[in-house]
Amino acid sequence: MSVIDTQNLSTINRRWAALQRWFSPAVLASLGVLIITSLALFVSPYIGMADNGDYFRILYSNGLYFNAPDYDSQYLGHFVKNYGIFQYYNENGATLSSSQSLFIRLSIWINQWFNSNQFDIRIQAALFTLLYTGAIFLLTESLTWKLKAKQGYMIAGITIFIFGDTAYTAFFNSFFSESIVLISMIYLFASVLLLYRHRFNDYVLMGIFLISGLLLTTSKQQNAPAGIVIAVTGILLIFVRKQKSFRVFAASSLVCLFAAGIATYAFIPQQFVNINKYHAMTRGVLLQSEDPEAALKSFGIDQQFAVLGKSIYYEPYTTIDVDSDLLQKQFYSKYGFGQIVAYYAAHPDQAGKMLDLAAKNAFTIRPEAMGNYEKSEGKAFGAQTSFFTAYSDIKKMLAPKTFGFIVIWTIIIIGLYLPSFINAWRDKDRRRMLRLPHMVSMIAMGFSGILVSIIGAGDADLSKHEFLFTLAFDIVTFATAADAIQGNLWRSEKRQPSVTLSHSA
Amino acid sequence: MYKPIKPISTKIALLFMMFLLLPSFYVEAQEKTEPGAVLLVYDSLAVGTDNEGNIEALQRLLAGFGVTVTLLARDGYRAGDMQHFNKVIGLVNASDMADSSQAYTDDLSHFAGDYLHIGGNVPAMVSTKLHLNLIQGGQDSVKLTVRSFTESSIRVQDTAYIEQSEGKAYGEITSGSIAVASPYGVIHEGIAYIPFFRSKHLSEWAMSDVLRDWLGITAESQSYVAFKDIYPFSDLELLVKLADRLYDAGIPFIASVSPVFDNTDYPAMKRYLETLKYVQARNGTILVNAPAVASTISELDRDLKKQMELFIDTLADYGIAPLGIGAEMYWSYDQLYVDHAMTLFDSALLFPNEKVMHKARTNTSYAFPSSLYSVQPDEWANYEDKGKVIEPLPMDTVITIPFFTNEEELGRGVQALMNSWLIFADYKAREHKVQTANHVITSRSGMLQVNGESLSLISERTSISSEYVYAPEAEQSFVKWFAVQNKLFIGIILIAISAFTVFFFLGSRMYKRKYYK
Repeated sequence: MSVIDTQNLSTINRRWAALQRWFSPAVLASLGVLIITSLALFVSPYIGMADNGDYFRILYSNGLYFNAPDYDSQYLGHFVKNYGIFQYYNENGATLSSSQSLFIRLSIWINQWFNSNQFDIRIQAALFTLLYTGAIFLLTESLTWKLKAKQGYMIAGITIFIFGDTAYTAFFNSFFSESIVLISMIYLFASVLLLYRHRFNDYVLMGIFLISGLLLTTSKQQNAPAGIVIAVTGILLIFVRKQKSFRVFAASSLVCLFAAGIATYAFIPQQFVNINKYHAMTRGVLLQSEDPEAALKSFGIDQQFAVLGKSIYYEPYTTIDVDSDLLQKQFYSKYGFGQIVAYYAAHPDQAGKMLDLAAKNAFTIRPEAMGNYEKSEGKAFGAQTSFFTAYSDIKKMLAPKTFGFIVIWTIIIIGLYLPSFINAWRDKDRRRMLRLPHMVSMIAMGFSGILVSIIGAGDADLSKHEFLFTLAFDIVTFATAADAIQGNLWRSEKRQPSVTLSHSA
Repeated sequence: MYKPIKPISTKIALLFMMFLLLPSFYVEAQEKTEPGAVLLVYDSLAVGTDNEGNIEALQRLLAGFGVTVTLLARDGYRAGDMQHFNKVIGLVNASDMADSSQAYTDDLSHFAGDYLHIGGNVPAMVSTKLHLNLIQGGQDSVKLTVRSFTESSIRVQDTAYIEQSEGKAYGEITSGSIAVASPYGVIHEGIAYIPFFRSKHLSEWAMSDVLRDWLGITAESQSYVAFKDIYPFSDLELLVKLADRLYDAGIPFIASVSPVFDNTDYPAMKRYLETLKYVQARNGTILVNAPAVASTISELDRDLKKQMELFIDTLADYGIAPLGIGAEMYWSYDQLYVDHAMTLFDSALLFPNEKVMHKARTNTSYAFPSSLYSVQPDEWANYEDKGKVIEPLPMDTVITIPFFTNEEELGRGVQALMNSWLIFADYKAREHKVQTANHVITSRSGMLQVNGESLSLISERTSISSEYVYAPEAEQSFVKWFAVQNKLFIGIILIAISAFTVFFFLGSRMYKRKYYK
């Protein structure tokens, strides 16, 4: 080997070392996601999500209004980035029923430094992007810490590929609560995995776990079961440390999350709005029923309502106004969430058919109905971006869309993590036992997303309602793949300080 | 081979041709009396004032007379707009507002057609031609008398009272601030003036008298009774009882029924159709109510025309002849609703607007050859009636009643109709035509026809069974092949289990022999 070759090699080694020193996989992944998201959301043409009619409630209750004169013509088709800020008394009442309101209020407050009359949704997008970058850092760190450099960068690359996908990040430029679900779910997952790997301060991680869990649970009514699932599957967290202070902190956090779940569920009867209630019956119970008239009678509803079977709320022309007093008195008032759960329990064959139907949309990240571009861009009505959407496109195309696949996937994941859990159980190492229940927690949250969608709104809008599942699927599958790359899927964690990346604990 | 027509046959043929041509002569004669188009120019919508809603009320009245109305805000008036019309109505709701269109004022001063002015800021041309002498009032409470009706305590603001005028006077206004009663309106040689106009007040009726003469309408008008809010999931037994009660009382009626666009083969739909057929047989006339417009935005590409045709065809195939459309008035000011739904019908019943959901708003209304002016039943009760027999309003009027929700309501409603002095006409006695791609539905002198065949009106109801295959089983292929395959696999599995059991038994014996010796 010549002198020049040796010099070149040492230069490469030095650069490799510098890369590892300044750009750990976690830093690289978060930077990658930050750059891609910024390019998508803040560089023209701006990518966002068109309003599907859901914005009204969350916007007006937070002091914003539609100020575009042609707003009506842009529904579903085009992303709108500017909104008016109420300058006078807001008769819609300022309600704080969702954690999403906190972020909107904060964004409005920041926005008012620059413009007090008009709200630019990109302020909110910037806030979410920063939070998301932090979430991606923690997620990658939780999977690459103490890992060989090459494996670490491979995982970082996968992180960018999956979580930099604009099908996920376009939600930041919208008033859909999916953006909060995305960010809080990743923080939640990363915090427990970091606790498992004993990375960072346990108290800080427990704090992140609590806050992200609360934000996730209260982000939308549909996520009420998430709080209960997190609290139940997180019981082991209490025993991670022996100090009384930590155990009290952990236990009270779990109680808080459980209570948040119950409280959010308690709001469901009021928030179980007509649109979902309509679909729960017409696109749920009546959809697969062999005798819709008998099904209606079991709810105490007139059999004549069978003509509404399979119809959807969004029909432009309908027999009756879907919000009419007649439907309110004779239809909507006759059933609720509980009655529909009981109906499916009594008709498992119908429930099975609905689950298969749900699985068909369970792997779609971006709902097809909403356009991504502003009207001024001159793109077609409802046009969607193809910028950095490879992962979401492949997933949608290739995932086997049956409920059987979801069940097999669940069994495989649990099977893979079970041996390491049993080993930790035998060793009485509570911290090492955290991983399996945490995976189960994510899967259970995903399942809750599917079940609540079907019970709450039948097969309508499934691709948007099942966001919780599609995200849980991605996180769990990604973490499993990362663990497979590390080779510690079913083995107990081995700490190898000598061959790890140089950044310290 | 050519055969000469015999004289007697020729006479019959000529008579037959005359008979065929008669309706067209009749239509032509009708067209000649049509009042044509009217330009309605207003200065303000009067939102939040007592006058709010008076523009819509005027539009409905004009629609009731079969007039095509072009609505323009004075701000949007462009010089020359008036030239296309020979009848113009100027409505001033805010007399204190500065004149926002000099072009309108200029055009009006040279306008040679008929002009009706409502409200303040009376143009000089009107004052001159009517020789008007007005007394300007302030805040006041007046009593309005129209024919045999009186409404007291109408609050008015800055209204001018006609002290002296030339022409035919209409109605009577009395107030404490004027010594003698002043006319409500006056017409002279095509120029008319009305000092104030409110919706849902007796002034609507007073206005109708003025409009009739101003538009030059001479046809006799009639009164009808209609029921709306009839759905497939309404109490259908109650609808049957209503039909029976009204039939027994000799009151013909209209039922404006909600359309169904899906599941038209379901038993629930059949029950709905069976009930409507019975209603038709009990002297009821079926009208297709406009569907509810749930949203003006929708990703669903629905063809309203096809949907409406589907429902009309479903009715016609079941032996039901719908004779018109019942819709809120704004439908006639929307190009999409007109093109895709209203043009299928030549008759309409226009309700007051409740929830305006435009898709392609236009300024000009669609005028029907036959259009009814809808009145709420409580409106009649509000006015003190001096007479016994209520004269019909000058345009065809329909008392519109929301369908009852229980028997008590039905009993009271039917009794009120029986007690009323109004004489209700049979809607199907007039000519109506509804046309889809598959059906032509007509009525003439009480005869209902679908594609030229008369409908038999038999008041019998068939009970509809609930049995129906909602989800037809998917067609299965290779059924026999799979059955054989199943049996084969079961056999193989059984053999495998038996072999496994034998090997297990042998293995355990060998194991025991080897290690437990």
